[in-house]
Amino acid sequence: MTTPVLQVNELQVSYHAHSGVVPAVRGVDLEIAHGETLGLAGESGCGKSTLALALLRLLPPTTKVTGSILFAGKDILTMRPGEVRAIRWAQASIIFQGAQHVLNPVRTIGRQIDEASETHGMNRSGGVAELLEIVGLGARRAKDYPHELSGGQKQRALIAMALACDPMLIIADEPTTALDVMIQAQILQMLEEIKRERGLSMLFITHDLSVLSQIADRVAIMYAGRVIEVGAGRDLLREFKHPYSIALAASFPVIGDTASRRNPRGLVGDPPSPNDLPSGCAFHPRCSVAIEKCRSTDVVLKSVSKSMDRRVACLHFGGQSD
Amino acid sequence: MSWRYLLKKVGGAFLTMAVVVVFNFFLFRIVDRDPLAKYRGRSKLTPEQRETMIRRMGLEGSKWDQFVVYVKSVFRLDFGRSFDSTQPVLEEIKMRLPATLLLVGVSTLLTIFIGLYIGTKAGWRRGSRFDKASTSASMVLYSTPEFFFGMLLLAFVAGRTGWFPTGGLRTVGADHDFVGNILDRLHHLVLPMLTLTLGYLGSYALIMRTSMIETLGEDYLVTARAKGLKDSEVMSRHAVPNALLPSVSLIAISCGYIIGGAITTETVFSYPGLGLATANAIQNNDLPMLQALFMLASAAVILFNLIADIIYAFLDPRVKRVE
Repeated sequence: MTTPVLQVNELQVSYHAHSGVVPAVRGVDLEIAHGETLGLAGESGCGKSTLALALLRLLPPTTKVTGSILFAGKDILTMRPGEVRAIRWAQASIIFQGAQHVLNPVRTIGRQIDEASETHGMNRSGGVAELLEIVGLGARRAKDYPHELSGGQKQRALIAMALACDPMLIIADEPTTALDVMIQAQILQMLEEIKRERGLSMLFITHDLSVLSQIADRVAIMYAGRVIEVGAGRDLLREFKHPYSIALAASFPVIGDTASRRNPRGLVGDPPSPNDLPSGCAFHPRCSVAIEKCRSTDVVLKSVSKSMDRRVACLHFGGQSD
Repeated sequence: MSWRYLLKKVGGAFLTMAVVVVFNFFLFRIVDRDPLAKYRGRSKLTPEQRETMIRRMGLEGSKWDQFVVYVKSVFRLDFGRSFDSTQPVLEEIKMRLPATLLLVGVSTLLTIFIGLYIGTKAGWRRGSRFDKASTSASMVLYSTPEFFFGMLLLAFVAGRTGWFPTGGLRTVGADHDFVGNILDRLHHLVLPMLTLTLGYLGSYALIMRTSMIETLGEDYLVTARAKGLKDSEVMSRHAVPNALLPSVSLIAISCGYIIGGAITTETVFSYPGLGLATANAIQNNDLPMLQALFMLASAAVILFNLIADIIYAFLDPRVKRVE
């Protein structure tokens, strides 16, 4: 078996706030093979974006990160700053959410894309023009400033930027969240094509499960800083096992089913604050099938079927309740 | 930057100047109802003399006639004669302008560069020892009037050590060659320049620090770091160009204060520039001189703001759209 492009073991991230230590990611294991797309889904605040930034050590220096993050077998958490910079963008790049202020407003798109390859001493033959053509923006947009692009165009520019150094892995952090459905579909299709042509691996972070069915080979669902269910994309999205996954899926209206649109079965209550996590299974206060034991037992991911690589962190599965 | 933008800003500057010219006409008629009051004390004017003076100063006829005469002479840069020296005001100003331009020019450049550098560094390394030290120092500098520094420098550096002259533009009566003359003038410039620079450095540093800190939380800095840029590159290419934007207009405004600072500083060091001339004119009720000096100071402030608008358009591409 070949080394995975990215292997994350026991990753813990905690912020140091005035109120004390706030755990945002609480022991996550992930693995992404060559050419594979892992979809990572969860509500806002479940730690998925923190995870994305932690992978390239982009969190503020006061943040505590433990565990290991292996890029092609090397742990980025033990590297010197210079080595980390060499990994950034060259081996793994990030597609940020374009709606946010992620592009420098006073520099042209072209310069910002060029800067990435320049930093890593890569002189692409086609340069910025080629990258902009790939994402369907047209070479002439290189001279434009971010404010001259629409939301969808900005997202395309960010994808072009992520490709600048031919990375092995792309971390897409909610790349389609702020776009309307038509543009969203176009961007997803384009990502899918680029990924296939270049044999890229991808970590696709979203809160929208419907997007994952289109793009993910495997899916991991996160809740309160932990992965609570993981499995092959089609298999998992066809039938969720963890009560949280089921509830998350049910909160999206089903097309054609007007009843579900008028009254989506949302989750009761709010996601727990990382300051004050419930004991045992973090989901138990909102869970409809919680039993007394859920309050006290620390649940871990367990395989639920031998044939498929499906693991669930719930007492009701994998014989944990016994 | 578009021509339309430039034209609009230059037009605005001229309009502001026009308002200043009109305002000045009324200001000096409110200040003193009898412009010849100053002559009352010295010697009695005969009615004929009085008539002549009034005609020469353009004070005859209705207010509207006077206003027309005034505007015409302003356009001819004719501000009359100084009550004090009886020389034409324009000549008096021309004579003193170079000294003040040198003092204010050098001090402004020093303040901007040193102030922005300190502010940038302090803001980028927020909470560091450099930040704490420089911010406290900037606060002290900011809250102390510049003439107080001048007096301290005068008493302790010039007076005690004798390293620097206590005032003047050059050594009177000294016979220098060309180079020696320049060195002598620079020697006289050091303390007034230091006074003005120290007096306004603090505010620039504090302004830049604040905009730097506001920039620190921006997402595009995370993008820049994710691309593998060094810390120094993230700062110089992404943080500073954005942090400069709010600073530019604030700095232009405070450039106007430096002109005010020149009045007190030149007075402390008896530095014979326009600042000292202003102080003297105020003391002697030299209205023609004051009128011209006020107009010049206003023009300087308007010019600084125009320059800031132009620089701003170069720094921020979004300005093009905002018309």
